[in-house]
Amino acid sequence: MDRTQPRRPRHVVEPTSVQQQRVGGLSKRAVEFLRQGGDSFLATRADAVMNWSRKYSMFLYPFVTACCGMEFMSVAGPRYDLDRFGCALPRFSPRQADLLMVVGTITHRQAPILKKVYDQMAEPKWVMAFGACTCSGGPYNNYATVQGIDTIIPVDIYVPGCPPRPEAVMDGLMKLQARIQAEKVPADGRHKETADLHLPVIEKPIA
Amino acid sequence: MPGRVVKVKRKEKLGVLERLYVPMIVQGLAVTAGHFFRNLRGFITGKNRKDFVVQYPDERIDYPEAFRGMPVLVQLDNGQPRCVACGLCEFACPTDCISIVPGELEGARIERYPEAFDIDMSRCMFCGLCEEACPEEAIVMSREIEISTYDRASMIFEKEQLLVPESLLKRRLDFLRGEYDRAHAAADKRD
Repeated sequence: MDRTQPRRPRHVVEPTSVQQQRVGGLSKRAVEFLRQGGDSFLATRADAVMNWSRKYSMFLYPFVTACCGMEFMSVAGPRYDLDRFGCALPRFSPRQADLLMVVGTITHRQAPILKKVYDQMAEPKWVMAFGACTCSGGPYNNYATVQGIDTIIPVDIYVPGCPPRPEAVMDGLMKLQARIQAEKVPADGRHKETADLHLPVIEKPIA
Repeated sequence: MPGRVVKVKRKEKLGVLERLYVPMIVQGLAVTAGHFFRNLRGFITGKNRKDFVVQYPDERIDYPEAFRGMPVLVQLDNGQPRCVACGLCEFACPTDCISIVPGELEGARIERYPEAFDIDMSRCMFCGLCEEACPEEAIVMSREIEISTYDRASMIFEKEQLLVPESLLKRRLDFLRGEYDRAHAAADKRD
């Protein structure tokens, strides 16, 4: 075994050549065909309609591992009703879910499971990092904790807080909806850079 | 509008209507429909809403006095932070999310000031220990919580983004002073 190379965690999987050729679940040729319209009225309106319908009907998969789960219950419950954002139906099968809410600390032991759940979700899919532990590891800067789930799976919206207030989660959800509206249909891959999406500028809050 | 607990006294024995079953079902449906139509009217007219939901972007509940949101720096009237870069908050922080680079002003009354003051909000757990450690009332917990972002880099708040005028933080500062006064009074009584 070559000891000079840093050890790669087992759950990081290199994309195969077949996966690289496919964009957003479609073959490159299909994407090129769909993109032929370019900026034509039909193509842009189709994007807008698709995104509009997607952003208001997210089925979420709550990947709840820790104490943030209490706050997730609070935000999904009747007081702060996530249903008002069209995002209330928890699907406990990743095959049926659009939004992966990673709620709570992800340990290295848990990481392969999270990766598997993410891979099992069908496109289009989005990921919300809920709480400080998923954003960066939070207070647990140690050998056992994944330092941010974006080291394993791509994250679309980070909601920091320990745990975040329901208002913060709903604010994050609305920002995620803005992000979905800015996406192209079919999306060119989950790993698109945030800078290319022309997202609304988030102003840093003034207390 | 907090929820309220209603104590219901249930009958021990079923009456005729209960045993017939259907009238009670209709009664239950009538209650549900009544709630539905009353709240529907409430949403349209904006009056007599009796539901429990906080319609978040339009309305929000007021947090308690002791609520801790993200930590911010108190800005003096001259635009400078009150912070003297002593590093106590950096030391007190259990998650090591604060990083300070101290600077020096030649000839000023207070020579030390923070050249850079970054807080990594993705690690911060809003515990308030920095506020407790601060001898200058320079870092306080605000009521701001909606800090979600699209990327990890923009969760690091720099000095300019953390500066908040003192007038906007009056509520928290008053609360803190009251708490400290109370604590001191209790300590005096003990002695």
